[in-house]
Amino acid sequence: MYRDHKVLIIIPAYNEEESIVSTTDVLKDFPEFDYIVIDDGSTDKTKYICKSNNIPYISLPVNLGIGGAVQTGYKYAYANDYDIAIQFDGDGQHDANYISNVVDEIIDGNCDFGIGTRFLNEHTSGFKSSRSRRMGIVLLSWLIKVLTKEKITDPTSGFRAANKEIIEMFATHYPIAYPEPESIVALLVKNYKIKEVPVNMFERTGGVSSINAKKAVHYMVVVMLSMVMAKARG
Amino acid sequence: MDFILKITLLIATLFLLFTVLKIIKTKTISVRYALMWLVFTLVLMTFTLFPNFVSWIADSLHFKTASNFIFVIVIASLVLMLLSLTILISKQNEKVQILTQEVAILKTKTNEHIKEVKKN
Repeated sequence: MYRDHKVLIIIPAYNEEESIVSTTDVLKDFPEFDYIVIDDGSTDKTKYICKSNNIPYISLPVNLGIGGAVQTGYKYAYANDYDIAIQFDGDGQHDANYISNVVDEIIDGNCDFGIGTRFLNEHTSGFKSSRSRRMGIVLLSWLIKVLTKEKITDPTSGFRAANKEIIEMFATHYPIAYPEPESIVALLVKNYKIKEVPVNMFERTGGVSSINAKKAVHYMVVVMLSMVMAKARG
Repeated sequence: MDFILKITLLIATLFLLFTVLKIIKTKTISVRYALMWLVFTLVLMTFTLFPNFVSWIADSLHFKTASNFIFVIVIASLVLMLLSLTILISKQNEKVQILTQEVAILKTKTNEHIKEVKKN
């Protein structure tokens, strides 16, 4: 329990055998939060490492992709009556010390959905992302502004917290392929309040980013199309 | 229409018809999708058996030749069939995803339950 709220940390993991133990070890310093690893049909030893280290996990029998994995977490959170759910990457990029900052915004009623953002405050982040990635983020941010008139500086951030109402919504409907920007548009269209919170992010400690240069163009086209469709669906 | 051509087309469509019927009989495809193929085959069959009828429709719709009209009909039906298949695939993907998630959550619950039983 954290400030009288049941909080679940959802950690999607696809082939994260190198970093999953260090990620969850850090979370052991925060016993007020529950956490669960969603092993997205990994082909490496992620599942067995979770099992032997007594890490709570759900193992998907086949690979569903990041959207399907994260949604499993939201379904679990919904079924177990959690008040707040946080998405937290299994590759060691996210800094657990900032979880409470994001959660506090929801508990204090400042927003329904919190996004941990690495660009808000230069001092909090030693994280440098590539130039092309930044360009992509600016483009997505611009599209959100056009579609919803709201400013979201880091729509691709995977460090996100949802209140109970949004947990229920995501448990039934969550985008499959590249879910972050699309789900932001879906939330804003439904008039949920989103707030960005500055967080620190580390360089990856292991594993491979789900988006490589080759897929980047495909990613941008699919994401932007799905954002427009999310807006059209209303 | 030329006699040889008519015979050739007839044999081809008959072959298609028997293949479809055989697939339906062995239940390789469900009746719902079999119907789609059956209708398609029967339409082709009609075209082969009644070329004058086809020419008449093509003329009244101002197609230059009857074959153009047939091409349009066949391509349009194929596009529609393809579209319905894409819809089907998307629906099935969604179902598979829901099933996968449910199975995984159930497995976790079962494991927790087994652990508790062992403890007691």
